[in-house]
Amino acid sequence: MKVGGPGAQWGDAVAITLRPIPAAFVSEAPDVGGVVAEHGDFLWKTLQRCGVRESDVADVLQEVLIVVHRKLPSYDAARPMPPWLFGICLRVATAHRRRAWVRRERPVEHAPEDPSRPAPMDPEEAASRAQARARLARVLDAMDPDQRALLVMFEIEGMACDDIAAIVGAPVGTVWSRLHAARRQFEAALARLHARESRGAR
Amino acid sequence: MSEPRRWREDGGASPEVRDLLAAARAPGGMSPADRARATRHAARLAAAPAGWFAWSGAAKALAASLATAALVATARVVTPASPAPPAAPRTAPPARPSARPAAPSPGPVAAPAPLPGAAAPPTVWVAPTVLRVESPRTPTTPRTRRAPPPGAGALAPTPAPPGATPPAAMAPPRDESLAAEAALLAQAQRSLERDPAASLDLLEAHAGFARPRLAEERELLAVLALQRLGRGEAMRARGEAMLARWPSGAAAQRVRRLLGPTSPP
Repeated sequence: MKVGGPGAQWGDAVAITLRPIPAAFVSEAPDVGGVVAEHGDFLWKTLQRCGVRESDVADVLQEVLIVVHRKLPSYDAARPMPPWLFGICLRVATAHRRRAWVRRERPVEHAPEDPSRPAPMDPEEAASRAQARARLARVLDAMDPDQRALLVMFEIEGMACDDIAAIVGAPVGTVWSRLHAARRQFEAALARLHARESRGAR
Repeated sequence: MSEPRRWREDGGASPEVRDLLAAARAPGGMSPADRARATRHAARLAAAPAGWFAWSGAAKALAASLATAALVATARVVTPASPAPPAAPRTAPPARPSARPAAPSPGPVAAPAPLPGAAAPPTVWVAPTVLRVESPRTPTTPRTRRAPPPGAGALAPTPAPPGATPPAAMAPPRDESLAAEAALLAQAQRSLERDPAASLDLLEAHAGFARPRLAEERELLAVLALQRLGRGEAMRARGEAMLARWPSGAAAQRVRRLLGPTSPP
């Protein structure tokens, strides 16, 4: 089931937040420095959820901050800020991913290793994990950024639906139905990857 | 609504999907260095009026200018210069690979530059911080310096051009103020995504400036426009020329990334 109609964006859904707003998400209208101080980590993660590679996040965040700075005067401080920021991140990340050179010149051959995580003892296991991450990145890259973000938050980060709803500014039921749509999109992208791989193998 | 189960646990996922999701890493947070950089960027933005220079390249250029204590310029409109400060060695950029239009010959005007707002307190607001300045092609560069804005206090003072401007120097025949340059580039930046060809035309117009002070920023935009037009060869040529001219310029890193691993060091 598709909720919100064709072309609906998460950022558009801000107005239909139905649940009470967590106090931590409400703040006075800050300047852009305040946004970084309070929501920097959120922006950083959100851009990755929307498909910006780790190596590009710093650059894309600069673009986000410029947009935030430009739009802050029209931001309604009575509304929670995360959905507003989420909408901006989504649009900037989408534009970033559309740029030809991002699509063309950044094939995902391997996912970067995570130095903060202890390496598995077995090198074979390490290799297969790295391979799985690379495949996962390919599948996620084929998804729409908004669905991808949702899938990452729920399935990979294990966030609660309520928290996701507060971030995207949509009712929990909408989140849930979009999550199902995101799973179908994930499966379709995986099937396309299989098809490409079997063509390449021949 | 009760919390739905994760895909990996609800039996609906294929074994492969489960494996892929199990291998995933959650997005990492911001490192302290990233946070510090974003905070600096935000401070620069907050110091600027909304809508100014809506492109990250310029912001990065400004950041790098701060870091390298490059030539400080300022940026109001061109005003009659005060008597020339003592000449100091100038950190001129390396030789330019491309021919550029000659500076227009000074007109016979002897009066101080009659630009609007020139004498008034900064009515024409320009860059909130430091901009790279081109070395002048002629020894008569009318230019007024202003104290760096707050936040730029640690900068080295601007070296004076050798034999700098007599007070009677003329104004350029057209508006070649930094504000005009910046406005032109901002316009080119705005049309970059929608219409890169129009963007290139605007950049060509900027190339006609006699003494452009935002030439590096212009070239970065040109490289980006050529990239969006899919003109890979032209983009590479222009990017390499840019790296030759400003090898440690503010945009050099970005251009190297764009050109890929074979770009000049």
